Amino acid sequence: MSTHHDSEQNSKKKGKPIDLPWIEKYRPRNLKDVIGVDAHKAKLLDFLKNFPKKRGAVLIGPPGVGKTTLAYAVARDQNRDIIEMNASDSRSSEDIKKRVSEAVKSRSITDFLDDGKNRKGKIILIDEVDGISGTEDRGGIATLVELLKRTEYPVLLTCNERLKKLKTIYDECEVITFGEVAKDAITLVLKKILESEGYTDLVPLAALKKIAENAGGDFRSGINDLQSLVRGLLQTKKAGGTSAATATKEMIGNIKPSRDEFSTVFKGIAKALGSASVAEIKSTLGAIDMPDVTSSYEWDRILQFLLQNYTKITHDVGILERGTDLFVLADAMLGYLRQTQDWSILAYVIDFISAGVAGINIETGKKAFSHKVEYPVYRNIRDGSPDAMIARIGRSIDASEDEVKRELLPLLKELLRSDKDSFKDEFMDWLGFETEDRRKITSWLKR
Amino acid sequence: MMAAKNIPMPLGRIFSIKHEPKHLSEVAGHEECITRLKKMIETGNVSNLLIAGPEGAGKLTIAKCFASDLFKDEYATSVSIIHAANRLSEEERDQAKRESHVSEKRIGSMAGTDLIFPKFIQVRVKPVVELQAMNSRGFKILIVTDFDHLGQDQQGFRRLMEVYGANCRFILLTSQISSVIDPIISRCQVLLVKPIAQSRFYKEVSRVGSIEGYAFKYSFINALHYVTSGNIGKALNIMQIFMLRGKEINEDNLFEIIKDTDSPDITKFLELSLNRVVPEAVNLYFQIKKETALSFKGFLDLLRKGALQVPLEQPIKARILSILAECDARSITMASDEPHLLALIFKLGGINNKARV
Repeated sequence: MSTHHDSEQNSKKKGKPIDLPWIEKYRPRNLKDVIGVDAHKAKLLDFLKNFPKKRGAVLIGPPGVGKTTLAYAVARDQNRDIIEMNASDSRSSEDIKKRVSEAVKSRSITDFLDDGKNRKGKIILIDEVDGISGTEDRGGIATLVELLKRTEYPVLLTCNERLKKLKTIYDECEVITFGEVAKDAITLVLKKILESEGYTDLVPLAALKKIAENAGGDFRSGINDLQSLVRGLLQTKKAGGTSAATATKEMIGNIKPSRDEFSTVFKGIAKALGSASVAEIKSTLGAIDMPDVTSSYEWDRILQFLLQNYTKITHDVGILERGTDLFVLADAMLGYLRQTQDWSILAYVIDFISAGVAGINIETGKKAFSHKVEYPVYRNIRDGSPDAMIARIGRSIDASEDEVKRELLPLLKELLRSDKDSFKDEFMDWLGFETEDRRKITSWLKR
Repeated sequence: MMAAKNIPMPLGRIFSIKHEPKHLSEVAGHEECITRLKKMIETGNVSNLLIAGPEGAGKLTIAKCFASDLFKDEYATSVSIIHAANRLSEEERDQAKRESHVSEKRIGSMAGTDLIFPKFIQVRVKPVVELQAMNSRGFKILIVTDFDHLGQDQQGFRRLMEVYGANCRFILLTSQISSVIDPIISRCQVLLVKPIAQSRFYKEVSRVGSIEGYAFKYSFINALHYVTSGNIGKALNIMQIFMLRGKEINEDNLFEIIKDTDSPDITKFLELSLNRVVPEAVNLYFQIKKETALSFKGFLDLLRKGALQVPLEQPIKARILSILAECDARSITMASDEPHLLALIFKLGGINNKARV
């Protein structure tokens, strides 16, 4: 991964505090240094070779897999200039038009320096096209399509998800879809960075693997984790404290635990469900570190865990009812908190949850939770729910969404199920639904 | 012809949409109300209106026909319809935040109320009423359905009515006039819309039926009138389901269709809850939710209607209704439906009932 240019920097920097974010410092400059995306590399090169068969390519993939990096590396390899535009900055069609046409016309300074002889031309890079918001910026999308039809230079677009509103753009483009990066590829990159930084002794390989695993296919977060780990280790070393080995261990402990570390969550939930003391439950639940959600959703998640399991404490409906009432209050507070973003409310949420559990145990006189704690059932309602369809119908016939659901949905189901005529296709076309949405509707129709 | 938006092709195949009246003269029943509205159009003297009546009685249809007769081919640029029951989308909330010079203070007595308000008016209502009317009448019309859903925010709405009254007239629709605040009522002419009479209902349904090639017995339409509470749109939807299923048109089949379109497994849910079969009741709820796309509130609504029809003793029914009301009130600021659902099921299970559904 490191290039000649990088190692020069390193020799000067070695042993000094780290300043430049590694994610920038070690961004691959050349195509051969870009790791883990070989298939995509080939597709992109093909696209450039065949230009203008297709005039644009859109790179779709989760954050941090190296879409932008790949674009820059290709440009550098082929001696092209990159003209970058962030689509979320300039939103209106006018804006995009102006910026793009200027960029396409103007020659870059390097053109003048070497008479443009060594330059093969330009690549226009439009980052984050998902940022163009749906309705209000239809003009923005249309302008991009226009650009894609006429541009003299290849256009690369990036976005995180395949979006319906961008269909017209995809139609003009070569679509290259990125998946998550393999753990091994991330480990490899991390290792190389450590080598160039000269910290190979500091961080053991096991720790690198751990970081790579936690990165969840995202180079950026993996590299950032590594940098903060190293920074922390250097500080403890300086302070003359514990040995490097112990410090590393601690540091790794601080990195988000991976999936199998849910066991601590299970233990915490079980302990809380077996207690009749509000204070104890509060401190037990407060100590739980939910691995799979951001901290702002931790209490939602804890409540889900409790709801999945608390009914095992007793079969007495009356007792459960009184406990559930407190959970309901906690949930109402959570909802209120989300709407107002007033985080002082959280204290009540925690109190209500703890009081709910304690109340049940006081009434039943139980002193321990002797059941296996279950993982909350994930009831993915949104998938396959026809929300978008309902909203669209509502707008067309001036009915509220509830009214559509109440009055029209049963008939609509019937119409869509009946294969008498082409209603279904016509209907989906009118909605502008593509495969993914069609699949959802079809699965919703099945009973 | 003028008027409302063109109905998109596939939806035009739905009888209730295809045969929806476009002019006041085509509206079945409601003679008294329609005479008054026609008078208003004649004189050009249009005041703010509050149309009250049960669900499906035809309030919105009347309002739309009135506006379309009033503005003719200027309808599209002069009339806006807002549904107070549609919650704000994430995008709209953000927009409101960006433009927030409306106070968002929600402490003290305002805590716990439905929080659509300032945002709702800011994002949905204000842009419409602010925009200058551009038509020969010199004002435009804003129709708000389910107006009572605005709750506390009606005060804010009243202010808008005063400030923009010259530029915009309001037609407010509600099925719960008792939840509309007095200052609003006093600023409007109130029209009461009753469910359409049986004879008129018969005439209208058979008229559409004959266009679509169907003939009905009188007794069947009576049954249809009963199950739809006189809602013509709903009756036409049921008629079309009959057609699609190729079922013989009789009362037995009607009740069968009603059972699975109107209250999908609601009785079953009640039965499971009352008998304390908790996990099954939970699963059934999520299944119903997936099928009907109903919100928790909408589900409670179905349950309320279902509970009234189930053969249970009166005191038990009363207890069920009070539980539903309690759950409904508490779900206003809910974050997720699961705790609310469990509380509902346990409460129902707590009813000391001997009778079984």
